[in-house]
Amino acid sequence: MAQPSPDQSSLSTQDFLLAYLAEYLDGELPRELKDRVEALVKTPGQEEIPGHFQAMRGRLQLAMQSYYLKENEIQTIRNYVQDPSVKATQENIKIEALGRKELISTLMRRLSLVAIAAAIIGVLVWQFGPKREAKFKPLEFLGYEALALEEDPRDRLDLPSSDMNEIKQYLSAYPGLDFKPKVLGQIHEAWKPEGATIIDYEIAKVALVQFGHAQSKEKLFHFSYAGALKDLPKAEPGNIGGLVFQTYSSDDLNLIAFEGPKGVVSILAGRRAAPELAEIAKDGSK
Amino acid sequence: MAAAAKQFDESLVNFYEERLVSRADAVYRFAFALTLSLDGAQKCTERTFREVAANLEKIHGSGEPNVAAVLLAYCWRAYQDLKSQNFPEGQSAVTKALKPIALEPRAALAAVDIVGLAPADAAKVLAWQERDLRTHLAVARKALMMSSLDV
Repeated sequence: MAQPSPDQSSLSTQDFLLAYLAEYLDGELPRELKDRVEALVKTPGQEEIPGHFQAMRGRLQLAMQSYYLKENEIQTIRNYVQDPSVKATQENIKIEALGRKELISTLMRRLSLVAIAAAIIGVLVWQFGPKREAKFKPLEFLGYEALALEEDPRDRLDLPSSDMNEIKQYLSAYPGLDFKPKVLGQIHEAWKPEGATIIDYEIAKVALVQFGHAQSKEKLFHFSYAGALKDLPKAEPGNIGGLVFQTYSSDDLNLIAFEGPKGVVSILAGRRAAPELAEIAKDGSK
Repeated sequence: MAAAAKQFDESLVNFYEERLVSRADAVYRFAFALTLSLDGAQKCTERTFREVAANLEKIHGSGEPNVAAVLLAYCWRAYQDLKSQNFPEGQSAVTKALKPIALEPRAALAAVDIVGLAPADAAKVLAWQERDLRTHLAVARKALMMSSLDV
């Protein structure tokens, strides 16, 4: 708010009016000066002064709006404080930083989308895709099975029996078997049948007849399943009395594999030497 | 060749850009009212800001809130330095309206009625007593009212 000038009395009446007119019109005069200006503008011949001044001041202000600096002139005065090359460098650095941020953000978004898409595809394939068929590996599976049975035979045999006829009947009547299990006939009297079971691997069913040695606790396991001898890993073939067999061994067991009837593979597993196992198999196959 | 710009810290650069350069047009109009010349107004404005830049720390440190008054004070001094030069005058309606007004009343009119300073501040800018400012203002307004300025 304008303060009254201490020297206002030195102005002539009209100069006083003109000197304070703008503040009077803008409502910025203190009461004392306002009353004085108001009294003056009411005197005859002065009534039109405020309106005329306001109009001319407005025209002047409007006309001055067309005077302004051009952009290059503004830039010149900016450059007095900031070197344009420094400013350009700073702006480039900012633009680069923004660009990097945007790039990283875009990459992250894309990676996220790819990861989500891959996860969805993975779930769909896992859920609805073709199931990979597990492969039946007779030597591996049955070798393990023989060791497990040897270690703890309890409850592993569905039919604990020493009656070979009962065992044969059980195996031949077992529902869902797509092959006729080979059952060994009369073998050396020292080996007594202890029972039989069907091991269901889902991908294959295996018939098992377990024998125990009468004088020792030694076991002999006769597995048979639907298959062909040629599907087993190649091994040096043996022949005892017309029984063609292939021999395999692990640290603990020997296994001989032979075929018969057609489409059924037998594996005899035990701790005896392979030729002895082959002899037992030959005797049982008569 | 122009001298390399002095390096200022970011707060000073921002103060210069945001508070001072943003009022460059007001300075230019004040300078035009003094010189009645576009060329003169430009040279006067450039000189004003060159001096302002040279004294930027002092201006910033003074904490003066009325930066328009500071700029016009520098402009008034710049005009004093340049007034010996003959600037080509234009023929615009504004020039015709202002030319009959003497320099001091014109300066008072420009500071108060064009730029919008309070008369007390305008008096400080022009280094006058307020009584003198008001006397010049009355003279300039009377001349303006008698002019045929039309836009």
